[in-house]
Parts: sequence; structure tokens; C-alpha cells
Amino acid sequence: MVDKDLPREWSPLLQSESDRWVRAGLITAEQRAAILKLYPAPGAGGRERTILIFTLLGSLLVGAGVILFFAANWPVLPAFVKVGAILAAVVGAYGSGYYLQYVRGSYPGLGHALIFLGSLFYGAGIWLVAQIFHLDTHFPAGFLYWGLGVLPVVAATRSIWVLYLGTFVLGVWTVSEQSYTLTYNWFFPVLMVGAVAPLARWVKSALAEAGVLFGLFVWFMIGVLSHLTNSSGNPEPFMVARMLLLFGGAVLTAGLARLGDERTYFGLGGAMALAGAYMLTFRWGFLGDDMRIPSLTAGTAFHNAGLAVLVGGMVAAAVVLWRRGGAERIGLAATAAAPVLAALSLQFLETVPRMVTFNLLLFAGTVGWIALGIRRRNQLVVNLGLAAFVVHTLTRYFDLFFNAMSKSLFFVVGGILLLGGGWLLERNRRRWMGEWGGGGDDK
Amino acid sequence: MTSKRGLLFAAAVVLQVLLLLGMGARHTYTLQTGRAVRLETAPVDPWEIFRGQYVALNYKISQIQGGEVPMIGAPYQRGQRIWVTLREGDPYWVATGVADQRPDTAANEVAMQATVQYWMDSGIEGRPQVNLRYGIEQFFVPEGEGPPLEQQRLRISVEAAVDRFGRAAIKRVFVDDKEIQWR
Repeated sequence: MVDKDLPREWSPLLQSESDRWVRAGLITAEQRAAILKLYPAPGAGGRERTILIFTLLGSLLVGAGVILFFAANWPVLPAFVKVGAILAAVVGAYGSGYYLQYVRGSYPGLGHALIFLGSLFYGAGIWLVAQIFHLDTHFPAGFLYWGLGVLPVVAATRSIWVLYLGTFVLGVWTVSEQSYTLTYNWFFPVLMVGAVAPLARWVKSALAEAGVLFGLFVWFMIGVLSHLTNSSGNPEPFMVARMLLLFGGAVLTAGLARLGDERTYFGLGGAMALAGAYMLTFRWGFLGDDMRIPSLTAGTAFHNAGLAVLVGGMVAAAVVLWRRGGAERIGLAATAAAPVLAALSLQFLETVPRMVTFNLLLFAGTVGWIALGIRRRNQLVVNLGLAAFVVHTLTRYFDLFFNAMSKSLFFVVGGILLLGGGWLLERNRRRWMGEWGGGGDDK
Repeated sequence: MTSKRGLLFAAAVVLQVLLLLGMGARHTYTLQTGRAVRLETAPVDPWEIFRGQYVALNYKISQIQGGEVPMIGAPYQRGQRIWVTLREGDPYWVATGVADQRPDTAANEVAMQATVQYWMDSGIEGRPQVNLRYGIEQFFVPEGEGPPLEQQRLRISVEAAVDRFGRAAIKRVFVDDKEIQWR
């Protein structure tokens, strides 16, 4: 039985490899022939495929003509015709996509693209229907309907693109909903944890899972910042930075405890923690040097409850990590604990000591993060770590030398440093990747 | 396996179609069954009136002053769903009460749902004020047809339908008592 989802490279690869197996005496020539019979080479249905291509091209031309016709006459068309055109576009894209990907199976890539297009048409349809009927209801609800509508499509097709779309659209929904109504929008975490995260695990999409985690962070921060009640100047940068450190530390701990995809959790957790440390290397002078850093529990009950959940999660992950044992557990646990300790120490530091401390911590954290990536053969973490190192170095170079040097010298020296540093970093990166045998654990 | 996937996929597409149809059906239901009320729009900054291809409508009943109209359950929270009682007038309907629960209405009244935009303890002349949205604040017009209406800056009024659930939908738009048609 032929699996129609096999990539095109499969057949020639199988032909050459099975030939090698015969020569190596692993299988007989008869066995090779029997195996190859299971996977007929593409091109057997070439004529049929050519016809299909022409049919598709024809459909596209007709479709373009229909779209142009509707676009030109949109204002004068009756409402039911407009709605009918929208529904036809949605159902047509989905139907043809499903046919090509699953029924015919000959163009899974194109079929997948059409299913994704159907999800886009559906989203556009929400706004168009609202326009047709002059609906001026709660506008963030449009994003919610969009996200809710496409999640079942993911469940049916395992489409990663549609899952990305749904995760992004639901993220836009909570940002607009929380900003517009100043509510906590509790449905968002329920939806993320109850539906999107399981779907991400099911389709094995590390990026979508990272989207869920980041979405929850954004949801939490908007909830915190839109309900600030203390009067200690403008505490927002510090609250965001501190929460980035804590959240990043929690995600790193979860990654170390292998509660999720290690590559994603190391990447996201480290990036968030370093972003938090990076924010704290600035003076924030335009907000006033003397502004006070709010204490850890200075936020609302929502903030403190979120903090408690975060700490509880970290402790649970740390317990799992500890029980798992292993010689490197202490070093790894310290990697996760560092951002937490940094976050806790924040309120005891004045402006200059704080900037110096977090510059050093950022440097140490970046080196530690890259070391972790090398140790665990995590290419994503190594690349992100190197990028963080470059951003940090460039920022400090601009801070320290922009006014102290003539501009021409500043840029020439900066350029030479960039070129030299980039060459060195890339050489080391290649050496590490080479030692891993080509790409580490990248999926 | 395929048929199970096919059924699930079909159900997902049907859900989307129903959601899209539901949006239009709900509006059509309000228009077909709702009671017609004529509402006067309040003047708006001409630079604000057109955003893209729709007319931004601001009604007299969008800002209601305490003291003029009884407000039950005030103060109201941003985003809170409340009820406004409208009484038939000549030609425009006027607000006669605001409440956090659905009120009883007389024969010449309707109760309309509204969402609180913001509440002011001390608005005009120190009286409390609530700013509301009814979901009928936008009227889409064909591209390029908005500016002539903006230039007129005349009396714009709206005939809205209010259904038995208190939901409103725009039925007709009038400029100086003449209905405007775009097709």
C-alpha cells in the first residue's frame, strides 16, 4: 500500500539505497524488487497529472475572473449574493484542498495550501459579513470567531499552518479584548490550555506550543499592566522585565525537566529570560532616574496569583528534575534558577548597580545559554544565544562609544568588530554543528 | 480512517458556514421582527466622521446624563451590558431610563441593550454621565461615496429596528429626513 503523503524524494532515494543494501548483502534482489513494487516511481500517472495541472490552471483563471467580477460589482450586489459568494469561496477552497490532499492524494502540498486559504477566506468572511450587514458589535469577537472556527480544521487535517493561524488570531483576540474592555479575559487561558496546547502536542508543532506559552505570557502581562494600582512612578518596564525573567526561568525549568519539547522550551525560556535581563541594562532615564522598582507583590491580586502559579509550576518542575537524577542536574538547575534569583534581587538595586549587575548577568546568561545549547546539541539555542550576544555587544558599543568617538571612526571600528566577530562566531558555530554530525536535534 | 477525517472536516467547515450565516441571520431577524425606532444622531467632529468606508454615527442617546434620566444600578463598569428604555417621540425616540437589568416597558417604549464605554461621576455640569454603544454606530458606504455626505454635514438620523431581545440593527439612514440610497 502506498502512503500518498510520502515526499517526492522518497522514490529515488529508496531506489539508490536499496541498491546499496543489495550490494552490501543485506537484502536479496528479489526482496528489493518486492519493496520497490510497494512504492511505484512518480511519473506513472504523468499524463493524468498534466491534465490535472491544466484543470487547476483553468480553475484558477475562472476563479480570478469571478473574484474580479464580484470586486467590480460589490456595492450593487444584493446582500444574499455577497454572502453566497463568501460562502462559495470558503467551501470551494476547503473542498478542493481536501480533495487534493486526501481524496486524490496527488497534490498534498497544494491541498494543504488550499485548506489554509479556506481558513483565511473564512476570517475575511467574518469582516465582510459584518460590513454587509453594518454590524458594529464588539470587534475583538471577530478574532475569537475566527480562531474558534479554524481549530476544528486543525483537528481534522493536522494542518500546522492553520494551527499557526489559529494561535496567532486568538493572540490578537486577547490583546484587543483586554485592551478594549480592560477585563482579564479568562476564556483565553482556558482556550489555550484546553484546546490549542493539546492540538500543538498532537500535531507535534513545537512552534505552536511556544506560541501558546508566549500568548499566555502576553495575556498575563496585559492583565497586570492594565490594572496597576500602585503609584510608584512608571513601574511597567521593571514589571515586564522581572516577569520575563521569572517566566523565562519557569519555561527553562520545564524544559530541563523534559515536560515539553526541550528545543522549544530552552529556546523560548532562554530568550525571554535574556530579554528581561537586557531590559534591565538600560537606565530608563526618560521615565525618571529616581523611580522606585515595585516590590514583588506590589501588583494586584491577579498579578500575585499568577506569580504563585508560576512559582508552584517551577517548584513542581524542579522536583521532577531532581527525581530524574543525573550528574548534571545541579548545573542545569542553576541555569534555570539564575533568572529567578536575578528577578528577586532586582528591587534591592539602585540604578547604576542594577545596570552593571544585569550587564554582567546578561553576559553570563548568554554564555551559559550557549553552553547549554552545545551540551544538549540544541542548534536553535546556540543560534539564538549567538544572536543575543551580538545584540548585547552592539548595544553597549553604541552606548559607550557613539558620543565618545568621531562618527566615521565609530562606524569603521564597529564594522570591523562586526565582521571579525561574526567570522569568529560563525567559525565556532560551524565547528559545533560539525561535531554533532550535521544539525543537532533540529526537526 | 479517511471517512472519519472527512466527517470531522465537513463538520468543521459546516461550523464555519453556520457562524458566517449566523452573523447575517441574527441581523436579519432583528430587522424583520424588530420595532422601528427613529434616532437622532449627535454632531461629531467632521474629521472623525469618516474612517475608511463607513460613516461613524454618534447618537443623542449615546451620552446620557444622570439627573435628566434615572439610572438604576449606577455607577456602571466599562464593558458592562445595560438597558436603555426609549420612549416614542416626534419624530425621534428619547431615552427615559437606564438600568442594569431589563426594565418593564409601556406600549410606547422599547428596551434596548447597550454596552458601557465609560462612566463619569462628574460629567457636564457636574452630573454623572454614561457613554454607550448600541452596535449601530457604523454604516458602511461604497468607496468614494462618503465625502459628499460629509460635506453636507446636515441632520443625519437613523431608523433602527429593536428586536425582543433588545438588540438593534440599522434599517435606514436619513439626511435631512430624506432616505439615502447607495444603489
